[in-house]
Amino acid sequence: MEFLNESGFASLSWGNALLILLGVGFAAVAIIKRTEPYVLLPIGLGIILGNLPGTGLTSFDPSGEMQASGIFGVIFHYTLSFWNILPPLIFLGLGALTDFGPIIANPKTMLLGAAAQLGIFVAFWTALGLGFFTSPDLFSLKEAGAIGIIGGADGPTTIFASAKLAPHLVGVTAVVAYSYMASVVFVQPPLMRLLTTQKERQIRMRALREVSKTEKLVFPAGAMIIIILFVPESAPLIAMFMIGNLFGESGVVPRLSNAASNEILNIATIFLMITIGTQLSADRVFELRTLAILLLGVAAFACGTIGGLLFAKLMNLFVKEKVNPLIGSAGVSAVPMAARISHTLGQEANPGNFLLPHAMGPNVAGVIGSAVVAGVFISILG
Amino acid sequence: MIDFDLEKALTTTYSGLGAAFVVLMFLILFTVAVRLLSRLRSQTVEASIPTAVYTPSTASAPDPVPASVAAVTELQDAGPVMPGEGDFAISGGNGSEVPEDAEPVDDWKIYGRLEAFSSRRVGRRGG
Repeated sequence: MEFLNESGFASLSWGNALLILLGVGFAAVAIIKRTEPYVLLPIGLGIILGNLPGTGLTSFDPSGEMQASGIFGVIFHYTLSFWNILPPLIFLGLGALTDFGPIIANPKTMLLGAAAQLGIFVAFWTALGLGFFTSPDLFSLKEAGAIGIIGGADGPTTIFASAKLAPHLVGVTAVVAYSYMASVVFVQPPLMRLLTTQKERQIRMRALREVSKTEKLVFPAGAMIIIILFVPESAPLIAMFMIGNLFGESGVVPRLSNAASNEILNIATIFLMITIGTQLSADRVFELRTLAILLLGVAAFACGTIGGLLFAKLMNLFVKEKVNPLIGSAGVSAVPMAARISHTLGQEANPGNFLLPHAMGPNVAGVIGSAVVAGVFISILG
Repeated sequence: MIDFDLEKALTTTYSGLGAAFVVLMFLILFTVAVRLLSRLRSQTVEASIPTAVYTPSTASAPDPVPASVAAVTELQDAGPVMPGEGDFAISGGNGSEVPEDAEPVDDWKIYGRLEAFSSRRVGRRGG
């Protein structure tokens, strides 16, 4: 009997049990449905571990007493809340995997990536406004900023901004961001059908021109300098993204490019995702604020999608060569799922439509746009 | 009663949305400028092609154009340089023009390759 009292069963709350079930659910979806397995499986396992009582895995002792901190507590402290290095490392790998060809070939689609950041500001203001109806101190400005970034639909950017602005929310914001990113296939299509006509969805876009190697080399280098000069706080993300891309496009450092897009990205993903999962413990989740973040997250995604779609329609009033408004929704990042959804809906309306390369433009611009907005949030609110 | 710094919240909004648009507008201008410069450069190279093309064929002397120059100017893409069908068809451009009566290539054939490329490169990003 004494043994049972000292075991984890004695301290297991119903909240822990529910979250362990959620973790099992994430892992099951990843394994059985193969939906976002690289994200959902490690996060699911992290949630399970973070809710097993008495392990000390997530504890961190700032006094530095020997053996007093758990592995995930140390990883969280040093790689996120203290130094915040894992999201930029992920961006290095993403940069090496990214092709800027579509935005170089059709640069005006970059504006769609900016318009789709609307969701960030809607979530930011709604988070602040919720205090009017509930408790005045429901969310502080910094917390509202961290929640708003979910609307950028970019996991590493959300984690990076949350870790800077509100480290205690990073587990919830990251899980909400990744969960909605995995479910864009349910969130976006109804809005896309609602806000576009059949005729608009049928618009065929001209084949993208071939982009020279020089352009592919000059773009990331120039973009890095321009963006960092405008928003220095975005440098950790943007610099790593562009360096990774230059490694790949230069063609002269294949080992570095491979390391960035494979080993470094994979190692960073393992540590980041499991650690994020462990932060989703019962004492942090079962409160009004978490429910509010869940609702704000979906509102942010929806508004980002609407912003991109409507801006594409607005662009069509001024440009000679029409764009298919469906590619506007891809501006919310969520690479490459959002672009694939634009493509699928385009083909539904017109089987000869091939929107994927066109949608990759706003998709990649959305990554840049959300990193820029995160940089502004950190510089003003941080 | 809303208890937050309204001015700071407004500044964050204006600056954030403004920065996203301004930065991406600058990137558009930068991309267009790079493209124009690149076109200008290729036009300059094209203008120098006829000299390079005719030099070897006018004399029995050894080819004065070094191999490295030939690689840069892409002589093989300079279009027909030998007399063709009664004229001296130098204006063949770079051979990329499509005749008006040419069979149009379906977009999906071009993009099929791009899709495979895109899904391979960004297939497991989650970012």
